[in-house]
Amino acid sequence: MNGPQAMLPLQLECTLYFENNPYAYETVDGLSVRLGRKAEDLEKILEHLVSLNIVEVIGKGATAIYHYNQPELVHGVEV
Amino acid sequence: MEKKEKNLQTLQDAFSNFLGIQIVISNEQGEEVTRRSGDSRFVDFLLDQKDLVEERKRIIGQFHNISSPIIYDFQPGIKTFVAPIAVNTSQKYYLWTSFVIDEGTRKFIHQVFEQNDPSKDLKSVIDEVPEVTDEEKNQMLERIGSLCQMIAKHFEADTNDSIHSSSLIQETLKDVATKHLSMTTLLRRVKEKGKLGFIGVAERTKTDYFSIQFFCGPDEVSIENKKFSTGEGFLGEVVALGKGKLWKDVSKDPRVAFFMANGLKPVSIVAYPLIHDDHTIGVLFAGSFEREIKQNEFQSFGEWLAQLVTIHLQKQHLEGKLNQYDLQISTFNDILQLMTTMKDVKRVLFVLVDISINLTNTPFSFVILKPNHGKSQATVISRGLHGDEIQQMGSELAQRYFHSDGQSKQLSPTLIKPSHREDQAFIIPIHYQDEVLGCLAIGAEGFEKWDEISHFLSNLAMATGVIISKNTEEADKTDKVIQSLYLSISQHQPVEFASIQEEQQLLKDFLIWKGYSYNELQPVIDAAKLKSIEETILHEVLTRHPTLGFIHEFKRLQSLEANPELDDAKFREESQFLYLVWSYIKSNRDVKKLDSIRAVQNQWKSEFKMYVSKQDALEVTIELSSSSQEGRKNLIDSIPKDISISKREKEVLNLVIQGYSNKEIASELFISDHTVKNHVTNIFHKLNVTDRAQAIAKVYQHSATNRETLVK
Amino acid sequence: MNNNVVNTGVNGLDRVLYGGIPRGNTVIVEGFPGTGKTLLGMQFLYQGAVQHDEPGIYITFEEFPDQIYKDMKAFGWDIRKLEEENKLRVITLSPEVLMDQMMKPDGLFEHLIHEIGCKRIVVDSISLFQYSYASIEEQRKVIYSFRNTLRKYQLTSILLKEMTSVEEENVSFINYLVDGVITLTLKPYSKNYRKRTLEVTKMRGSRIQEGEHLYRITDEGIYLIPALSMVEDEVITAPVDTVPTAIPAMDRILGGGIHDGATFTIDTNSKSNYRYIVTAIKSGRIKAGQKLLIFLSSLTTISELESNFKKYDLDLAQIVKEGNITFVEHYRRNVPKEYKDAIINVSDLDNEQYRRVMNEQIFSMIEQGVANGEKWFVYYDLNTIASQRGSEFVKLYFGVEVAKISSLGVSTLVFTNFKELGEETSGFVERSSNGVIRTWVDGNYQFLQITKTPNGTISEPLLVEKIDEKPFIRLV
Repeated sequence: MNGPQAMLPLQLECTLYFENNPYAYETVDGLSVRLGRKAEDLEKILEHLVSLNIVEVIGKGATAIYHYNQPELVHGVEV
Repeated sequence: MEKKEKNLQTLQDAFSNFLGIQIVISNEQGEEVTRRSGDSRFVDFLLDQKDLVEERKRIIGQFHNISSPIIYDFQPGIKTFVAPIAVNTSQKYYLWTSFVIDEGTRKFIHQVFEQNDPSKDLKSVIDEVPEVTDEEKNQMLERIGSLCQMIAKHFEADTNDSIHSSSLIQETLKDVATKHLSMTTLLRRVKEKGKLGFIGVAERTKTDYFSIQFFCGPDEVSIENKKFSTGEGFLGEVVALGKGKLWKDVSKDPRVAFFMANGLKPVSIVAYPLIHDDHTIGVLFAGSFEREIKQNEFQSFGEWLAQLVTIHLQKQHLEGKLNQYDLQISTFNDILQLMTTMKDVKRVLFVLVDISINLTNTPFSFVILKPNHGKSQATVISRGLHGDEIQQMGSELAQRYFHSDGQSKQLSPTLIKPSHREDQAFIIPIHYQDEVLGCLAIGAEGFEKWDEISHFLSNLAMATGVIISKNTEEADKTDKVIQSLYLSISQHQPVEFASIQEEQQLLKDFLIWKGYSYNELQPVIDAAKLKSIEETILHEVLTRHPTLGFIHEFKRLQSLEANPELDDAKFREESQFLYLVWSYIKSNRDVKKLDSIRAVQNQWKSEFKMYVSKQDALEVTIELSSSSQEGRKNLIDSIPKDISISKREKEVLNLVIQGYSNKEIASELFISDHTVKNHVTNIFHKLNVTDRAQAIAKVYQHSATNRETLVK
Repeated sequence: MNNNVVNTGVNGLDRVLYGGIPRGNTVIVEGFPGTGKTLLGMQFLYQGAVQHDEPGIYITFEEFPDQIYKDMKAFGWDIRKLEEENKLRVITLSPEVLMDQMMKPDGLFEHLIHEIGCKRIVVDSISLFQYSYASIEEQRKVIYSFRNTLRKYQLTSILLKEMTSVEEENVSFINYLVDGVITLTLKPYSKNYRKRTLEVTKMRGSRIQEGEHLYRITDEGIYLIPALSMVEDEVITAPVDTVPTAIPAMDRILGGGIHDGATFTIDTNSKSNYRYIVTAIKSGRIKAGQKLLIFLSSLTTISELESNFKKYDLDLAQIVKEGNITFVEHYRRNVPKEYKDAIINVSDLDNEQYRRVMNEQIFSMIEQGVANGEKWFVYYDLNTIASQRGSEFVKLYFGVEVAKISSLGVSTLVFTNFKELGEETSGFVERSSNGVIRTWVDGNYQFLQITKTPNGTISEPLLVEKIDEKPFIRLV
């Protein structure tokens, strides 16, 4: 993988999956089955999405579980 | 058409039942368009004697100008109500009721008819015509008036065939999001569904002319590649205006020659400029051959379509740029498709925020929605900015984009330097036509390829604009119906109305105290407002609205109370609260009477009683302390020292006492819902209580003991 | 409401369990594929969330969540909406990951349970543990600690278990470990049909109604009829102008019963026992306070009717005495004295005279009654009319008479045998009816199918089962 942007389409695909399933909890293997994509590619992308705070991770290694990290939603901002 | 008339029948049946009179609705020719609902022997008698269609036609001829209900003397002393229903400018219905006579005039009427009635048949039917007082007559006039308005309002939305319906907008939006749909296919679908004669799109050429690139009209006719310049003809006019326009009755207008030369003979024409990033990139136009295009078709659907066509056109331009960026148009379509399936605007905005972070890897992405008119509090969705930063960015963007009414609006993406930040931010307004609905702000630090992705993001923002405005329009429509139904109660039943107002306030306060969010409690409050209206009417005008379920359960609770052995079905707690508050207000706020209510579970009764007594206590406390703020502080300080409550927990408890829900506390203290829940659980544990009500009671108990000690 | 039991979301099952599953119990639901385990599990969670405000988690090892959302939509259950309301979560994980997260302090499992305040759990399916853990020892250990964790959080849980044709030793270990076992089976019944049964074989802390209870999968999920329940318990909420038939299953298909003004045809062959079906429908009408016009046939005599009615606790003589039944008799037979006034004998009349009597005497009597607010029901024996008046008469006048009756708001049950009536005439009768009930005998079983209804629903062929209590038949 040549830098984070090279896999951008797959990265967006992952993001959209979690946005569409905001309550899903997925392991890399699980996600690989759902999206029909290679687990090793997904692993790097998920890592990147975690660094962007778009997904959260619970645990480490093969049993790490990823799920959507909802952006901060604030009502009542004075304008 | 059929559905419309079925609805009409249901509304009419319900009202006839409600008012206790026979009602029928006719068209302008006097022909009945509904079945008569309710009985009237006098009308049956008349049917044998006269052709009522002719009679109605005669009366309509006399009174075709009326705009509100009238009382008409059909025979000397025998009166009927006639009311006009203006469904739209071209269509009018009339509502007819059975007959009434004025109080005390029956004898006189008999005398009048005695000579003409040798068989004495008339005598017995006249005896069945009800007598009414002047007051009753006026009341009926008012009620019939509001029925007519209700019918008119309801049909206003459904009329104008399919082109107005929001499902068409939804469908078209989905069409735009599909991968391989061509512009021609899109236009052809709109033409068929909207019953248009032709429809087309012109694009700006390099020489600043506009050239018709897509056209869909009658077979074998095409005006593709025809050109016009800014200001020229109908289509050039909208480019110059920068706004859409509808022309009716154009057959004699010289400018119609543009179309006539190719054999098109439109009756009305509508055209919209296609604007992207402040530039007019093309024109969408359509025409009709037989019918006039109506004003509201033009305003609602046409403008949507213009924006959707713009997005569709822009997708082609995206293609070239995206390739350099390792992105494909299919990705854009995937995102758009997901957005169109989401029912919740909030989630659409999540997508927008996340996609921009994905594309740029920048420190923050931030969306602010312009508050509704007259409100000063906005909703923000943010990644990377927190607390004060959100506040600052919010007011900065509002200053630039929401308060600039009158000035020329900047709708294209720009790079700005926020006054409170070191770094720059890239701003993309979310707009629908020329109205700004919100803003997307992306941190610009460390990212240089704006040119490449700005098209992508601004096109996405544009689609977001369409989705937001569509959602608010639908919500507004339902709100308006609820509001107008509610106000109609104030006309019919002023006494009832006053107690409903009292009731819904108490219910609202109670539910907030229980921790309900605004979205959760709104349908319950609506149920409190509308429950005195017939269910059939409500189902007709508020199809599948969540409030209907609560009203239904409320009515079942009412009958269960009267008839406890009916069944022991389970009711949602909201419905039980609704019923509880209603009974409480009805008993003039007599707490003791609450115990005798059988239909409500004891658990809810005692909770509500606790709330009511707490309210009383609160009023007392406020009197004691110099300011309520200070009063609450004292309250919390009065908790014994051996119960060690942290500073944060005190803050949370303070808000709990004020009746804040967990969600509200979270946003007040800028912590997550989850954290609030934790704090609250800890507080309960420390105070040795199991719920909010008990916690509040405990705090008040301590404060009372403290005062006693002080006095001693 | 008993707070110590958890409603299962299936009313019939709650009754079998005398209220529900004891709170905190871990229950196995086992069955072969296609028995409705997933549905039962989801129904438990959905109804728990919606009716009782008890949030739940559905843990699946195999199904895609998307598929579950879609499948449940068919029952009108919007799972996504419940997720947004924090009342339900659907989690797809492998057994190892689940166990890993369960054992960890502050793992996903604990996190989720706290996040939504979870009270109910469904695991789909526990059988997969055996693929993830090689040795039986290990499997047992894992399942044991799994159950203990569920108990620790006081979760009422349903563990779905696939049944295989070979019952393994290990399986009984699981059943021993849990608090309850519910078995779903799908048994062949006659050659083409199968019947679904549910049996509770174990439930700690609760009495159970023993035996196999029948259930069906309906639009609203699993519907279970406890085997020992009295039919009278099955209160059907009928719309105002329908009258129940006294056979609950039939009423469900008909949307509450037979609508006033509707014409229903019952088509039978001579072998099938239609007596109870017909009497059940008539008795429903009598109990609803309606008046009856009954055509007597060569097979049904007054005394036979008397004994049929008696089974439904109705005293025919008394009803006749009160003037609530009128008979049309096509045969010359002796009748008990007390019925004489109620019988209009048409045996000597030719077709022309018969029509006149029908019009002038019978229909005008009904018309008058209806005008006075009476409700009427006509039992029209078309077999008798066809044999006594000829099929030509049926073709000419049946439609007219039925239309006349129906226009008065009176419902009719037409009793006939399509086969004997001939194709043309029976086609005509079928078209003129609002509903058609067919019953026939095939092998050792009698079937009943509702092939036409005013609301458009058609039933599958139901088995007619003879039972000892009223209404003496049950449709399965």
